[in-house]
Amino acid sequence: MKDFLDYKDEIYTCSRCGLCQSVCPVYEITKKETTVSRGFFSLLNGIIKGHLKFNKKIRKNIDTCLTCNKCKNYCPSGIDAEKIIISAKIASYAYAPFWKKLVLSGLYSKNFLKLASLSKLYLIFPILNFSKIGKILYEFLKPNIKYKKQNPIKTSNLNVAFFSGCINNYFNSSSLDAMKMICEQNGINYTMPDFDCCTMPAYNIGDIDSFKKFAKKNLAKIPNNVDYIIFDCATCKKAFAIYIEVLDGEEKEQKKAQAVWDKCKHINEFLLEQNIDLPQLNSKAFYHTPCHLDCEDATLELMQKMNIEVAPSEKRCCGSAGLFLIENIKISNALAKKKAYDINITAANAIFTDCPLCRLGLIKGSILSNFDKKIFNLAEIIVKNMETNFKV
Amino acid sequence: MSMDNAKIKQIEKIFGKDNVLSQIEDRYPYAFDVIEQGDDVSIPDIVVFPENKNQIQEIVKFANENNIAIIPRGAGTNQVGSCIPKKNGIVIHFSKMDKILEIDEANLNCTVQTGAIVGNIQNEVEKRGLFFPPDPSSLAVSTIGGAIALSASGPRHFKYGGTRDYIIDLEVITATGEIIHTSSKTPKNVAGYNLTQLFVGSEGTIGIITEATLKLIPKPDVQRVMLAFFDTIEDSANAVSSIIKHCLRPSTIDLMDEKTIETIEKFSPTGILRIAQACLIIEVDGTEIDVQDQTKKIIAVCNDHNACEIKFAKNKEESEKIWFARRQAFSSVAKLNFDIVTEDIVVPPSRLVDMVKKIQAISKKYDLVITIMGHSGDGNLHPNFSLDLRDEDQKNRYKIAEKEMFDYVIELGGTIAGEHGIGSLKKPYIGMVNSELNLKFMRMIKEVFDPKNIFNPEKIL
Repeated sequence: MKDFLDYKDEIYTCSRCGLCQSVCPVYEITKKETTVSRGFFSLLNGIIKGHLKFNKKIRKNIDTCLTCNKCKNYCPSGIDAEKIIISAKIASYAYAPFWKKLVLSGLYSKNFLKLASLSKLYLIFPILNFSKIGKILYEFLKPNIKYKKQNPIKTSNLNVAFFSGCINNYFNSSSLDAMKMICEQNGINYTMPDFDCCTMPAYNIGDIDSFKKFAKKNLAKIPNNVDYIIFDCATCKKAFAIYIEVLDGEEKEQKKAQAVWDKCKHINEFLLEQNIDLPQLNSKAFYHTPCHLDCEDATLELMQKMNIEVAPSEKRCCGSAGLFLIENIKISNALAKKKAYDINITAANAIFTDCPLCRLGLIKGSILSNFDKKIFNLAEIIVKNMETNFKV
Repeated sequence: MSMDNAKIKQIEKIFGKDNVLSQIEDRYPYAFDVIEQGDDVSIPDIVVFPENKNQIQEIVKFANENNIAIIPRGAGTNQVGSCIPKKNGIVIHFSKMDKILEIDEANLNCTVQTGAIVGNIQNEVEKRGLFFPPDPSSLAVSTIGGAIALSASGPRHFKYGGTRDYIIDLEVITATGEIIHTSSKTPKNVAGYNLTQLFVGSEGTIGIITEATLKLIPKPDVQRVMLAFFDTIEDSANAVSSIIKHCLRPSTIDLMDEKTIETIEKFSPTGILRIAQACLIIEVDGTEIDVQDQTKKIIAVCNDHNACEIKFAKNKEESEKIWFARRQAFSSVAKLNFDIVTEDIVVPPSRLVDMVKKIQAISKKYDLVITIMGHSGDGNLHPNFSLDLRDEDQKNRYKIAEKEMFDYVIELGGTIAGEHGIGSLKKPYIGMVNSELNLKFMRMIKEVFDPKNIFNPEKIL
């Protein structure tokens, strides 16, 4: 994996044309050069030239990047901003805010996460529901479906393992339950290995050592006999792609990561390939593409097969983006509201997305903007239609 | 000189803490615009984000009293170092004054704040069947204030003219912090000297533009684009001359040379280009009948001049495809090397061939990669030097090549700045296109408006 200084030439390649300003969702809110790729590259170039040194302030500026990749896809010079920003975050890890490191150490500990999962009790005692925060929390924790064991109506000789992320495991298992029920109904064998956090949050703050450590731990837990590893979260899946990169130099581990990656599938890709019976919804919906989703085409095809018309809309980050949500709360809220506005003008009946944290962003946007629309992923809708005819 | 705490406090009082950047890590990105500056960087002392004109008045008064430079900045996309704080000072970033204040359909004009984005203005007026033609290639981000200050234009200049031709009235803040309007909001006004045009292209050196009233015209019904490929530069240039001579008025006649086509195909194959010595991108607009008629005539002219292939868009989708290819030109060339320096020369359109040949000869002579594109109908060429300016040898060769190119431009009766301005980058060459007396008058104008030289110092003159 390349170090920050290895990106020296790529950082220099930025021609400062400034076109990233037109696509950066954060710049749209802040309107400051300090929070857009061209500004980051000026700062990083300044560090390389010796005009500046990494410190807390530079770190704070860099941390306003959502790593949503919009500028990467637009950059005339073809610069991969995300990779460079991450390398800068790794190089400036010492200056990352302490509270972030503390939150992360929580994610690394299953006991802490179990304790945090007590927040589910809030569904029984929603004492803060007079406030917007309370409502957001309630909606976030409330599962869309309830798990019920299914009898197989088909047979299959597939073996899959679910990678269920922290939100599934500790806060709201609706999406995992949906995957389980679909597999049961279709006679697909599944296992749920005791994975750790995918540790993307660690990668995103530049704690590369922890990321590597958990990458190896997670890879070691993949059972040998599975055909696929199924993800419901776009970001967790992306972590497995990055495992290959960060294990550069450790040949055996890297090979393993590559072999595992070849079996990784997002649930939507899996559902599409397996020809699972799909309900016909005949409705118009809004699809929020998570920044980290790598199978948008498959997802849209799946929706088409379910007779869901997707309302056209500009792709824009929902503002959740991991700890960004807390650290840059003002920007995050503004982005969530923009997203809510985008959704509202489409007159779609329901919202679909494929990332639990995006779901939180969408809930936040809708509650802050005082409108009420249900948010699902496609697996949940399939399950909802198993017994009754559920329309959105 | 850096700013002491008392001064920072004073400025924060004007703008509010959120709208002031005073720490070096925040100011540093504002030391740059598009041009590469090497290791010698001058960083602004403070950056402010006004939300209304009163704040600008106050900061100008403050700067004038304290003899501090003021550098207005739109999107920082100019190609000539016009936003570089050569004498440090205060950068005013207009990103928060980006509103379209009024679209007056009854009087065919619109009034916008200085930070309004050109592309947004175009989109908004087009929704009402109106048209704001100036189209600098950075219009997705560049601001109207910047476009006026740099007198920017784009491909459509051939038929419609540039930003300068669409300014009805400007609101300007003077060095003493007073507000003036350079004209009235009427289609005509000849009462006195034309102050409006004095500010157009002044690059923020004699006053700060805070609002502009822009002329709008009816949107053409149809726009259609075609590509004409030629085996020799001469043929393509002769075709351009013929189009002009025949009084045909396509909205654009852009040229790409072989090297540009090759580079586009290398980095983003479009499937629509073919390798040829030259390619003209011609867009025709107007009513359906007019467009059909012009298209026919233009095809005939191109054929007369041995076009080896003509492709034309049959519908909007195909048009988009062609413009996409054209827009890929800059980004593809940008990928060739670490730096890209875009020149902005203009020669009489009838001398286009000579100029292109000269550039090609210079490219060979100094062993430099130069791709040529430009608005051939206006004789405005953008030779792009793609190189690594960190390499001293390359940098020196480039400097000599540039001077040789400029000398030839002057020989042909041309100019070194067509739509990008002078800024700090081209400042050493302003004497090439202006007599000593011209320059003296310009200096006097500067002196009248800004006796203390606080407005964007070290630019143009």
